[in-house]
Amino acid sequence: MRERRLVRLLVQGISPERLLLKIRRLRIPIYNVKKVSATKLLLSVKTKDEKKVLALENSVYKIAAVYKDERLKNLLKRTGLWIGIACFLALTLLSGSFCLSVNVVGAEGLEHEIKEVLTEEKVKPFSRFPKDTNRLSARILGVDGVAFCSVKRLGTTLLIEVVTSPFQKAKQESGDMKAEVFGELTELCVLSGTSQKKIGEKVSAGETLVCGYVIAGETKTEVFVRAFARIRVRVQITVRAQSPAVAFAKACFEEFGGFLPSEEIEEKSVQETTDGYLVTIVYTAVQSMNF
Amino acid sequence: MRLYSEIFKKINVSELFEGARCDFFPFGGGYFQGVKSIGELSEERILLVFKRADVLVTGENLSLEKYFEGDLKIAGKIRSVSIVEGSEK
Repeated sequence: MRERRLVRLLVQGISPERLLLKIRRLRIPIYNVKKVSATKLLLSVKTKDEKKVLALENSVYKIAAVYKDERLKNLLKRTGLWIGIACFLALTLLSGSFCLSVNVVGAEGLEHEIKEVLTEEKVKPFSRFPKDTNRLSARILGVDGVAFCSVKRLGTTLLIEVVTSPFQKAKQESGDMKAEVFGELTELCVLSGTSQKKIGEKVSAGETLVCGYVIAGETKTEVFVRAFARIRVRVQITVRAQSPAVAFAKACFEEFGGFLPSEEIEEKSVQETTDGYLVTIVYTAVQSMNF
Repeated sequence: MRLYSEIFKKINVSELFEGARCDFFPFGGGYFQGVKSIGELSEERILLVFKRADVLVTGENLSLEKYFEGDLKIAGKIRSVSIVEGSEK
């Protein structure tokens, strides 16, 4: 049954219960009538009848509405309303601390690395906002190629703006620089590290040319080797072929897997022998490390 | 209730009492029909004016729970309901 909305009225005057007859004649239902004192009477009528009853006020009877009690009581009775308010407040408080989406802008080519950082920092949609955005920003700045990073919170979105550097820093190799071929060291330029060979020395494949440390006094400091070397290589291969040209080609493919550029070949000769052709190629191999 | 309907069949209620009727529970509330007006109202005494007579209701914490078109419901502890002497009309 729908609860009626009532308004509480206070009637003041001599024998205020006589007013009940007038109200009755207006065919207005009256509720909860209580005589407070000899000259005061409290009664309730439906909200829609309030104006009609107030119009009965005259010099004998004073009628005034007492809103506070009924309305507050009615409001407190509305359980659904209070549950709704509580749910709304809870959602408002909680939603503010959860990140509903993560938007990364400007990370061309570095999405994978940045995504790895976000995964390690446990930043993803529907997770809590990171407490320390500076830490996240610092971690993203640590990714090679990132020149600038800004982490901002916009409502329920975490906006990560990244600016990449036009000159990406190459990854540095650590360790010693070793010869890749057997030959004579003709040039060695060392910007960082300690050279182990001199110009004109013979070097073997795998032999250390530059070590990854420097010694200053009694202190040995590990460094990244930055060096450049040229090694003259003399290759002699005996191949069976129909002609010297074919023999040369076969020798190139056997040794290098293809032809060397002509500017790299310093000498070449093909001599016929009893086993075929002896192909001799002299070229310079160039190698560098962190250069 | 069947008992009431049987009693009322024998008595022509509307003619005899002109719609006036009192139902009450001792030490409980009461329901009154045909009330023309309220003569007196307090927590201990309520005087109901009917067409043919006045009825005095006494008790404790009495209040009018509802009053509409002659139908009146009294809440509280009714101790007695009596016709006021000399009030027959």
